[in-house]
Amino acid sequence: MHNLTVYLLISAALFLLGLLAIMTRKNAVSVLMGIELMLNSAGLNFVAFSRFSSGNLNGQVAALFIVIIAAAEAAVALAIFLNLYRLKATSDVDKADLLQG
Amino acid sequence: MSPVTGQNLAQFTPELALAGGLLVLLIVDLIVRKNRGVIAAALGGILLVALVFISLAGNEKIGEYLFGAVVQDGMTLFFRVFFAAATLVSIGIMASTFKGEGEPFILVLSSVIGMFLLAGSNDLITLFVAIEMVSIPSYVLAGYRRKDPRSAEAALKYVLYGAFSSGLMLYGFSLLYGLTGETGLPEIAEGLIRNASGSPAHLVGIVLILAGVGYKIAMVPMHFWCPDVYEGSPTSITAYFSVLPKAAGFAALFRIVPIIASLKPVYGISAVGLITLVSALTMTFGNLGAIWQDSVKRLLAYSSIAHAGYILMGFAVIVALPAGELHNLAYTAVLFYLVVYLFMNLGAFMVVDLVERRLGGDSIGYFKGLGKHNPLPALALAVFLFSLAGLPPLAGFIGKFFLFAALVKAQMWALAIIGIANAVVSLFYYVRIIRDMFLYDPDVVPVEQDEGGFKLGTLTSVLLLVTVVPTLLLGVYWGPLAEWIKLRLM
Repeated sequence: MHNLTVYLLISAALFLLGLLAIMTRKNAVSVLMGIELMLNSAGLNFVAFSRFSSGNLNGQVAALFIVIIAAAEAAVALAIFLNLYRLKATSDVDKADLLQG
Repeated sequence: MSPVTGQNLAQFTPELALAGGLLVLLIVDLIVRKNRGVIAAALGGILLVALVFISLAGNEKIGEYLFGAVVQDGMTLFFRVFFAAATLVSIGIMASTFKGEGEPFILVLSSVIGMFLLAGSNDLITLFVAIEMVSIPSYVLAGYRRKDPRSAEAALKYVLYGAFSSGLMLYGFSLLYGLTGETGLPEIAEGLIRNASGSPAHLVGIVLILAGVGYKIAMVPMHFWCPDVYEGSPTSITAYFSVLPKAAGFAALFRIVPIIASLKPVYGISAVGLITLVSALTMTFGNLGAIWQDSVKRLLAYSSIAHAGYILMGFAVIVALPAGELHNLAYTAVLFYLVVYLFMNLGAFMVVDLVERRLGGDSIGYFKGLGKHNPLPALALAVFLFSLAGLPPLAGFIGKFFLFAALVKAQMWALAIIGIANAVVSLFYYVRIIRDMFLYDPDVVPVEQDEGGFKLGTLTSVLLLVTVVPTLLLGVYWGPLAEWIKLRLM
């Protein structure tokens, strides 16, 4: 169980760091990096649980799917950032303020 | 192919047909040069009509297949038919805006594959992949007008909030997998009731998953993106956003209800308390936000947040009573409301799209005097808005009536009273538009004008009929639909 705890602590730290990056960073690409940290912390959790506690491989399959989906999401997100950069010459999320919520 | 795989794939016909049709559509779109949008919409429409029939013909007593990843039951059947029919109306609305472009239709249909998968998902992995298959094409759709900074900004907000919330949801999934060692949704619910019910990790997992799914249905506090994305996206695409991805979120919520209901109170926080709280907050926030809006598109965005809150009232009953007659009654109420919401909301956005294309804007000034120079669309919009407000004898009233009946029978008085107060507040901003349309003189006079108002094309007229007639009819003759839904739950 000791090993599992270490993995869970690391993944919780990754999750919180990702959250922190999303809250504090202004550059859209940095925010995306924070999101990737969160996704990967979940992936780490899945693999750790699969290895140490569940006794099946479902968690590792889930981790694979997370990697694939994260890549697809990043591709779409970067294209969207690039388009915004072409229009406004900035990738600062605070400057995207035409629509006020 | 082994017989088992063959049999499994036979159940998967709607998804396979959709994927195959999408490939054909992609190739056709590459070949044709003119009217790409019209052709794509027509082919997509034929495909969706076929899907409605294939889905209706499906056997709903199959149970789990594809190694437990997908389940086919009455709920799967209902949502497949719902998604196919709603997409059919949506691409009809989009066809007037995108006559020369095929891509929006292909993107919509590819996210419908995700919705079909979501309707039957029975496993954490299937659920996650299906939700992302719905979301990723939607991000592109929001930013479809590449040259328009508002559209680009809408896409930015959509993709950042969307990816953030899927990160939260996945972390919640991983905690549930850790607690139970399973990824199948029914197994997780069983395992949670057996071992872990009431541990803090259980609570955190469920809150994170609710946040992720709540993002899709624009539930407070995960609603920030909704008004901005709806306002920035092209209006016909906003119509699609306001119904389909939202209903997909509810389909996901249906599948995880047993997991949410397995939570025993931790630190005084119970599952019913959580849903009741977010439901009350969501409708109150939506309605209070809508009052101050000048853009009708934005007003409808807030109104769609409020409607998500009303639907969540039904979920509060479902979670409070895991089985029994009242449980089924609440299910029926929620599904019925989704059908009603489909017609009235798509209809309202369609008229807003029409006005925006003909007069040049969507702020409330453009609607002034619409009843004088364009009586038909104005009357239709009045019907949709009265129905959204929940006035008899329209479909929205019956939908709300079912929801409140379930709440009252479950004796959840507090939520019922908040809901009724909200319905009264909402009347104010809906009626304001209707007053402006019929009692005021127009600020803006349309440029191209026939004697009877806008030239309504055949397609627009048909779509207006398709949305107005059910909104009127379901208000007086709701029995067969409610009965059909009830039978799906058996």
